[in-house]
Amino acid sequence: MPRLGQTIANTVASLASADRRIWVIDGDLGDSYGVDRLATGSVSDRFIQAGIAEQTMVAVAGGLAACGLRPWVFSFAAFLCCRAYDQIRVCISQTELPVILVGSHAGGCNGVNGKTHSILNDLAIMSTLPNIDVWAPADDLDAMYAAERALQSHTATYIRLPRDPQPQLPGEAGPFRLFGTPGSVVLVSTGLGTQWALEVRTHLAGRGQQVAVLHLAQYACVSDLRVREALCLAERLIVIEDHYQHGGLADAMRRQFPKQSVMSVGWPRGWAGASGETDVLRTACGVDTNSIVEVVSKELARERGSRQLSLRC
Amino acid sequence: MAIVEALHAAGGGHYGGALSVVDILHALYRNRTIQCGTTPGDKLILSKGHASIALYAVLHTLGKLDLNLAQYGSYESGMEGHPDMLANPQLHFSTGSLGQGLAVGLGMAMALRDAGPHVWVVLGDGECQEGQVWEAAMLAARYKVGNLHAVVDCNGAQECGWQHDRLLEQSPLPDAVAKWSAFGWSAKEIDGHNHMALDEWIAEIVRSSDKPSVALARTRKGRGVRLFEASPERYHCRELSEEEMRQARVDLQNA
Repeated sequence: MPRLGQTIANTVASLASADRRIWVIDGDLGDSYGVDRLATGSVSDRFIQAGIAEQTMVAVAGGLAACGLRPWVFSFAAFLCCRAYDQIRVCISQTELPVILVGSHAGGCNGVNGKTHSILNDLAIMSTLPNIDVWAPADDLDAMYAAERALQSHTATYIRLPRDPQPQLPGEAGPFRLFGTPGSVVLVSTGLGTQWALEVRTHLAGRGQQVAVLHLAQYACVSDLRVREALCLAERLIVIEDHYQHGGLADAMRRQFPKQSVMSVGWPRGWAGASGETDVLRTACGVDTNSIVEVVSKELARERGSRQLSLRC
Repeated sequence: MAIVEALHAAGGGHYGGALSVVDILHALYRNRTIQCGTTPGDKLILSKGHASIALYAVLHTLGKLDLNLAQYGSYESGMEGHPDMLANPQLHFSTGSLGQGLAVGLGMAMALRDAGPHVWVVLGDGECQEGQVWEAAMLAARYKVGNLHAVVDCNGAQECGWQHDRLLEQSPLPDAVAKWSAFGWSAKEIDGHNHMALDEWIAEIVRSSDKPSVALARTRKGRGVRLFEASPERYHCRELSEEEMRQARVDLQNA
């Protein structure tokens, strides 16, 4: 299975052969997510190796975009979003230039890399900047779809990707994807969180409990009318995300769905990240499948209890 | 005079840095066909964006923009306190957060290098304390981007600096020529108020395109107003009393 960054790189290579406006800028990490192959292929005359210089990488992209080009900027999400946040704010967000930022190794599961290479609040800091569309693909299909949509868009885009390859999910890619029929309790997720949510859904199905998963690949979909319609019967939303519990999708859902109960499952406040296997880190922070299953089971039981109570009344 | 009057009307501003850079901007616009947006032609970025009033005044004086400078800094005037390419589409890029303009110019120069235009980035000497300037300088030299040119307004003073300890180096950018040369740039020191010297440098560097070039333009902060020149840090950014404004008017009328 390729990493999602590799999928994006392949998509960019394919798009760039037909679109001379596409340029690629990397921050000397391309072999970690497959962009290094673009340095020697058909895009090589439009490939800039910026070196270890994230601030310059982003500002150079602003300059290219101001001249009508479509630059793609690749790095680890932690360095792209944090090291170059001011350049993203000034050179891309405030200028409304259509630069595409691809941040690999987003979230908390980065193996031996540990906390310096992890970013747990990128949804919070990127989604609050004006003029930037945020995507969190969960699989290859999402990654390809997000890349194509980003190029079609006239605004800037940030695509956050997990480090590890992810299995392909059923269904067709789009701004959002629904797994199952939404009932009164729905799991809402984005990015790697959707892989976690579907593990939970499978586990619960084995116990005879049915729960739908609504995957939001495009962060802006929280306010999409179709998403609102899909959740019209939901009373309890359990948001699962590879992000801090605060500042990310859960908070966005609370703002959009003030009448529903929104519970957040994500990295706990105060945890800065650590080295370790994904399963170990998830268990240590209570975001492993078994822990989330217990959370969802309790919510399902509570929902059943309140429904029985209202029937008796 | 228009620069000082506009800043005074706006309740104060960056008198020193605007007056030190105005000759540089005037020379660049006078010598080169500088075009905005995707229009073919040279590009100019005022990376030391706090001197925006100097840019507006030059564009107005040369007839490139019809501006009422008295409106500087007011809402929807097109003359933001720091250049905003959305508020005024005649500006090539937005600046204000120091240190970013050179990398933006590098992107533009790479985009345009096969087409012929040159890209000019005007920086402050204090601004060169930002690490990103040197990231961009190193990258531009590595890619031999010969259509990228920088002019550093070396006015020798910044807002606070190290005046509190005279034993420390006082120059905002010591050994400027050596530093830029070490980063692979063609570097030359010139008089930033001498139009003939500026014209010659511009004509010379557009002919040689094997590596990026920079002029370390020696200027006087607050040039033309004795009060400002005598205390450049004090008049970096401030409001003027009516008495200070009167003295400034006298000097500028006699200039």
